[in-house]
Amino acid sequence: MKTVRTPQRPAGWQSWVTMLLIVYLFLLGVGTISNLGGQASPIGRALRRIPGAVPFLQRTGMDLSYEFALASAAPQEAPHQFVLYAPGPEGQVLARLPDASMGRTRAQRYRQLASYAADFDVAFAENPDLRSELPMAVAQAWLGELGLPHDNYRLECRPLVAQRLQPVAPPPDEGLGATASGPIELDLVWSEWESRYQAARRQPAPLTAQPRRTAVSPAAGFEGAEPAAESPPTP
Amino acid sequence: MKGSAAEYRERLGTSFSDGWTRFWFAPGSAWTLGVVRTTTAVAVALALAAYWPDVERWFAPQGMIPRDFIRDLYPSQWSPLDRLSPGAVRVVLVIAVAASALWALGLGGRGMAVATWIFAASFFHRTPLTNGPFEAVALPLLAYLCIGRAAEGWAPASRLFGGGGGGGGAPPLAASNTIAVRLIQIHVALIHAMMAVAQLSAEGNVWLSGEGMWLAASQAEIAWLDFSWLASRPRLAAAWSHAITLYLIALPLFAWRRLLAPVMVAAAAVAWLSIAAATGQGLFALATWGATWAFLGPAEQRVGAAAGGP
Repeated sequence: MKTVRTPQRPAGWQSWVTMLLIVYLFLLGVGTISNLGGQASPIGRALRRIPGAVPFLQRTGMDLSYEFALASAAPQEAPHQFVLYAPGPEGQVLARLPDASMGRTRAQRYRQLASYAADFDVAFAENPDLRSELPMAVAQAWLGELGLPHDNYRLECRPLVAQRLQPVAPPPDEGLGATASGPIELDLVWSEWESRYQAARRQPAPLTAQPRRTAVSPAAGFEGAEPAAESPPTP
Repeated sequence: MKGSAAEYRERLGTSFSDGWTRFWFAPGSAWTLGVVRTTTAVAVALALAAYWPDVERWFAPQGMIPRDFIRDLYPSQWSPLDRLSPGAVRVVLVIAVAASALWALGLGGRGMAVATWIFAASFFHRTPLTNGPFEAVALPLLAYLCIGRAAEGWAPASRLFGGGGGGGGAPPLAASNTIAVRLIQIHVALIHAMMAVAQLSAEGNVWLSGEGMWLAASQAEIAWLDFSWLASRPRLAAAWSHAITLYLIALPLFAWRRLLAPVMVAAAAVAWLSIAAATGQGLFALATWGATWAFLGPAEQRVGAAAGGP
C-alpha cells in the first residue's frame, strides 16, 4: 500500500531564506538573460524594467551575461591598445598603453579600457562629445603625465587583431562587423582658450581579421589553407 | 482517479520540498569553502595590489577614468572611493590588500570576509572600465563566501600560528556552508555554460572551426608563453580549442554527479591552466578553477584534508 509521507515543516528561517534565494536566483537569471547577445532579446529588455533589478545587478557587479568567448574573429572584440603619436602626418610613436614594462594584470586593465573606448565609439556614434570623452580623458592625463609640450598629437585606439589560420570571407558591407572595424584615430589640438586638448576624429579604413598565410598544406590542417609559395608576405 | 491525482500532487510537493531542503539546508562542511576562499582571496589580493602603480591614473578625479563620466554611465553604482584623493586611496589600498591576504590565510572570520568583499567592490566599482572577466567572477564569489563559515575550512593560519580558523578539531557542520557552496556551484555552472554559448556563437565560427585557442594564444605580448609554433600545427590548435569548448559544456552537466565531480575538477585544472597560459588571464583562471572545488563532496574533502590541502 502506498503511503503519502507528511512533509516536514521547514524551520521559520528556512522559509525566509528560501524566498530570498528564489528572488536572488531570479535576478541572477535576469542579469544573464537580459545581457545575452548585447541585450538583444525583447524579453531580456522587458525583464530589466522590473523595479530595482538593474540597480541590484549593477551594485553587485552581476549586470552581465558571462559570455567570455576568450577569442573571436571580430576586430571589435579583440584586445585594444592606446598609441600616442608625435605631431605631423608621419609622427613617430611616443608611447603605448599598455607598455612592455607592465605586469599582466595592469596591462589587461589598459587593454580593457581601450576596448571600452572602441565600444563607446560605436555606441555613442550619434553623440560626438560622449564618443570622444573617454579617449580624451586618457589623452589628457597621459600627455600631462609625460610632460610633453602642448602640440598637435595623435591618439590611436587600435585592436590587436590576431591572424587567422584559415582564409576568411570578405567583410560585409554593413552590419556589426563593419562598424567598429578600424583603429580609432583622434587628432589632438591644444586649445589655449580652454587650456585643454580638443579632439577631431578621423574616419578609419575598414580593418578585418586577415587569414594567416603559412606553410601549412591543406592536407596537414584546415581545408582551404593555401601553400606558402603563393602567399604574400605576412603583414 | 481524482484521488490519485491529488495523491500525485501531494507526493510531488513533498518530494520537491524535501529535495529543496536537502539541497540548500543540509548542514555541510566548510572545507571546500576554505579552498574557494584561499584561491579567491589570493587572486583578489594580487588584483588589488596591481592598482598601486596606477592610483593617480585610475582614481584621480581628472585621471584617465573621470569620476563624473563613470557615474553618468553607471548611475546605480557607487564606490566609497569616489570622494577620496589618490593619497587616501593608497592608504585604503594597503588595508584592502592586507585584509585579502589575511583572509586568504583564514584569519579574521566572517568579518574579514565582508571587509574583503567591500574593499574589492569599492575598487572594482570605481574603475568599471578596467574590469574584465576576473572582476565579474570574483565579486559574486566573495559575496557567497560571506554567507558560509569560509574561514573555518582549510585555513593555513591554523597550522602556521596554531590559531585562526580551523584550529581545535573539525569545524562544525552548518547550513550556511551548504547555502554558500550551492550558490557558488550554480554561479560557476552558469559561467561555464555562458562561456560555452559565447564560444559556439563567436564571430567567424572560430571555436567550431578549431581556431579559438590559436586566436587567444597568438598574441605574444598577452600570452604567458610563445605559442607561435601552433600556426604550423593547426590540428593541435583545433584539438585544444575543441577540448576547451567540450570542458565548458561538460562541467555544468556533469560536475553535479558525485562520481564525476573529482574528474571535472581535475579537468578544470588542466583547462584553466591552459587558458591562463594562452590568454594571460591568470587571476580569472585561478578564481574560476578554485570555485570548481565547490562541487567536491564529503569523501573528496576528507581525502584532500588528509593530504594537507587543495
